[in-house]
Amino acid sequence: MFSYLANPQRFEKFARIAIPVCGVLALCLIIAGLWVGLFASPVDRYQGDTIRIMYVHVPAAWLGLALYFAMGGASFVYFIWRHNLADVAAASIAPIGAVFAALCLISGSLWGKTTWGTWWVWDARLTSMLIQLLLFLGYIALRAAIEEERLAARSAAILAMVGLVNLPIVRFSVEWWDGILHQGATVFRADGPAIHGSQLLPLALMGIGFTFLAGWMVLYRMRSAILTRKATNLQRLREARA
Amino acid sequence: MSGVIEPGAYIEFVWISYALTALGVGGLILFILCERSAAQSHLKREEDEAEE
Repeated sequence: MFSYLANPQRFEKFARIAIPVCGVLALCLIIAGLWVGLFASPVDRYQGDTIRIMYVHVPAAWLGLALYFAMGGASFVYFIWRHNLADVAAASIAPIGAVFAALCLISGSLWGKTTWGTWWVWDARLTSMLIQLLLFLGYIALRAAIEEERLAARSAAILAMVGLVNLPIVRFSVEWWDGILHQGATVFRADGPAIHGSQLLPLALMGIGFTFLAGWMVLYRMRSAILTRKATNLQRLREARA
Repeated sequence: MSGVIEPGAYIEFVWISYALTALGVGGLILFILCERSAAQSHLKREEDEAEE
């Protein structure tokens, strides 16, 4: 799949179809998710209306992790096979992942204040998610700090690959450490989801909708990055001739 | 029952979390659209220069 799309013409053809499809699906699913989550789903027996924070917090958390996995995977492909499109993908994902990781922490903090009585605790789940955000920011900063493009891409790819270690720590922190305030997994469990269908439906709608939205964003940024690289190459040629 | 939050309590926290999410996602979309527009005009400028 990646070798097929590594050709810029093929990628352009794919993106022209995928971008509007992702955009329309994201819009429909998020509108449906917002309506069901805010107005149609019942209040929680223990958490009251604050349960509705879950419908933005969990999709943001999911994307914070999934986008890092995609960025790490693309960095690996670039590092090993030198596919430029993989580097474009990794660089395009970073700021989007950073925003979703930040939204996860902010919405989680608001939710924590209402249910735990505190904005923040240094438990393993919250701390590892903060590290996830710092890894995204570190990737962006490292790329920006190195002027030579190939060196910047390779250095950032190494950081992204090393940072993959944090993903299982975030995911399993609630099982590996005792005394964690954050609740355990409720959706992806071996014995099935532990939440009621009336809460699972808006969560699924928002989760899938946000995933399509992130897909739209990444593809859109990748197309812009390809245009920028073309323009930069033309500029260099012009400057070399002058 | 202790530990139960009444319906309607802390509702401002719900709206703030949705508003901040909308702000973050909306800002990101705006940034992406501006970035695209800047890339297109940069390429057009260079193509025009190359033609001259």
